[in-house]
This record gives sequence, C-alpha cells and structure tokens, in this order.
Amino acid sequence: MEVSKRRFLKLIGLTVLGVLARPVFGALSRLKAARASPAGAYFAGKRWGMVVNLKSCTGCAACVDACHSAHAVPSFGNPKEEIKWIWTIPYEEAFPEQNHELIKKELRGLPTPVLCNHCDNPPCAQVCPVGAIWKREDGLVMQDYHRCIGCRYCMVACPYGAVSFNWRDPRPFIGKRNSDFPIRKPGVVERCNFCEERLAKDLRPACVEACKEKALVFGDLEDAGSEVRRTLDSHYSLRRKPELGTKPKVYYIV
Amino acid sequence: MTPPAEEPTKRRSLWHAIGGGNFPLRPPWGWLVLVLAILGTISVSIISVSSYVSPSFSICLTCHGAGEAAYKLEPKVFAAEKQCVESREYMRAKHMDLLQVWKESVVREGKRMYVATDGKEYEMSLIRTCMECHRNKAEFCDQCHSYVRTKYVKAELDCWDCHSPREKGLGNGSQ
Repeated sequence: MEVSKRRFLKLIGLTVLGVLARPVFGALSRLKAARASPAGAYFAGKRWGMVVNLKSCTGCAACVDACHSAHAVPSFGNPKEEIKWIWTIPYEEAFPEQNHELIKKELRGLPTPVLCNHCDNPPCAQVCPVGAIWKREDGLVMQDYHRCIGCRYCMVACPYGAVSFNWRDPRPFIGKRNSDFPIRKPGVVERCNFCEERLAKDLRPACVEACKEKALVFGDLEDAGSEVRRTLDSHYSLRRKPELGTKPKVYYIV
Repeated sequence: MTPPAEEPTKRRSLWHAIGGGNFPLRPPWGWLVLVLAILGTISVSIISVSSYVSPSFSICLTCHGAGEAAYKLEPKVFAAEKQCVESREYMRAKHMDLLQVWKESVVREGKRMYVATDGKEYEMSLIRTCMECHRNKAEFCDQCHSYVRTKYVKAELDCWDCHSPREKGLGNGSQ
C-alpha cells in the first residue's frame, strides 16, 4: 500500500479529531440540553415592567434603602467604588435629551430614581463573553454571579450605568440585611434583578413595596388590565435613551 | 559542472512516509516520539474535556472513598433529619454536581423545588435547605475540604463567602 507523508499526516489528524469528537460533542449537547430546558413554562406570558411616576415621587430614597438592604448592597462612601442597584440622579441627567434651558421649574434638579431598565434588547447580555447575563423569557435581565468573570464589558455596554463592579470585599460595608440574598465577592459585577427572588414568591419588588407615595408601579406589560398598563394608558410616558434601541422597560411619567 | 544525478529513492513504505530515519530523530526514536506525542495530545484533550463535563476528580476519593480510614474525618451535622436530600453515598460523591444542578435550575430556569429520589420536595436553596443542617463550615465542610486543600489543591472553598445566612451569626467568613 502506498502512503504518502502528506496522506499519513492527514490520517493522523483525522484520527485525533475522531477520538476527540465524542467527548466534545457530548459536552456541547449537554450544554444545549441545559439551555433548552423547558424554562418557558415557568415564565410564560409575562413581561415585567415598571413605571416611575415622577409626579408623585418625593425623592425620599426609601426605595434605595429598601433595595440595598434586601440585596446586601454595600456602601463604601467612595463614588469610585460605589455599588448601586437603584439610585437617584437629577432629572436633567436622567433625560439629557429632554433637557433645555426653559424646562419646567419642578423638573429642574428633580431627584429621579433610576435602575436597570431590564431592556428588551439588552446590550449587557449581548456583550457578556461568558453568558453570565441573559434575558429571561419574562423579560428579566438575569445574572449568574458564579459565571461572571468580572471583565466589565457589560458596564461599558450599558448606556444607563446600571452595572457596578465589586472592587473590594463588601462584607464590612454591608449595613442592614433583611433577607438571605447572597452577598457578592470582589471581581464580579452586579445590578438590579427586578427582585427576581421576590417575584418567585409572588411578592412585588422591594423598592415598589417601600414607596409610600406609590410612585413606583410594577407589573406585567402583557396584561392589559395590570396596574402598569393602566398607568401607562392614562399618562404620557418617557423611557431613558430610547433612541439607542435598547427598548427599556422602565417608564417615567413626568 | 553538472550536479550529481540524484539517486532515485524508494519512499513508499509507511516508515518512509514519516521521514524515515530523518524524522524527527534517528530510528527507532522517530516512531516513539511521534506515538508519544499523539497519545499525549489525545489524553490531555480527553482529560481536559472530561474534567469540564464532570468536575469530579479522583482525589475526592481521598475523603469519600478508600482514604477515609487514613484521615479521621468528623463532619458535624446539626440535623433534624437523619438523611440528606439524597443518600449519604450519593451526597458524598456528588454533592458538588447536585449544587451545580440546583444553581442552574434556580438561576436559569426559575425552578426552585427539587424532587428527591424518595419523592420528598426540597427548596433548592443553599441557605434555607443545606445550611439548616450543615450549619458550620469549620465543623462540616472543612473537615474534608481543608484536608484535600492542604494536601492536593490550593483552591479555597468559597461558597460561604456569599451564601451566608443573615441570622444565627453564622458563615461570617471566619466559619
């Protein structure tokens, strides 16, 4: 039998590939099976969204405290290391494209609660190289802290600055904790999760529950009778930076 | 001057196909090196892929298998129940896989209840289910893990860094 050097090396290459194929495909198919599991049934028919009514918001930041103690968010007192899930910024900064020199006096400098918009087209999830951020079927942008490698692409991608990075051990800086929500470690990012752990128990998000003025409204955007939809029906609403095409699901009434 | 005419060489055998005596060392080492290289590539690939698929290394047997007698392990459990969610043997060998499945199930799929082999249902929560009985890292987890860690690997067992119950004063780093 005639075997050229070239042909022999080719055969060896093919053999190695053949031997490797089984475990590699096995691993891939396992991953696929894990991803394609019947998760849809659990979230079917829902699309969570929030309305922030700035007409009734007093800027008391009770929502911030409630959220940060529910999720063990540390406060370092240093804006460079700040970790925030929901926070307030002046109206002009929240809606720079709506700002002009003759803007209504009440809106000028109005503390506006801002948080992760749980975009329908989330740029953070698109850039995450390890699949640690993804959009769930019910519209929640979820994050897997175990899988996060702390590359901070999502922080760059998010046009709302809603993602924070853990630069140092948060333990000594966590104030009041009123839930068993896991703490994070240095080297991972974190952001608002729309209180996924509370939604699972049919509770509303902590910020919504804490708002005394009922300025935060949460609910299913698919349900025409839900409170969010009724609020949106009866008011003119804005979204932050809609021109970027992220399709945010937090609506503002001004 | 004319160059000397090349001798017609017969390179038709398998031996000549890989370069004969010139590749990569003199015979018979050419064969040996080639075969070792191929075997090495295959085995490294298989090991790396299989360890990704199932991260159960044989060193686990140090605690969970034959080596147990050599090292006296006294994992303490503050349990109301005699049995964990699955059998003792299964938990010893596979608890890391179970925890991984639980995490994926809760975070990715939103399924929060685990149906055990005996039909009992448990909430898939490290804090609210596991740590109800396995309350102390030093007295339970570390019994095996610190032994394995010091002897074989330097990886820290860091579950408790994040999953620490807020009450009971437990799991605050030192434990």
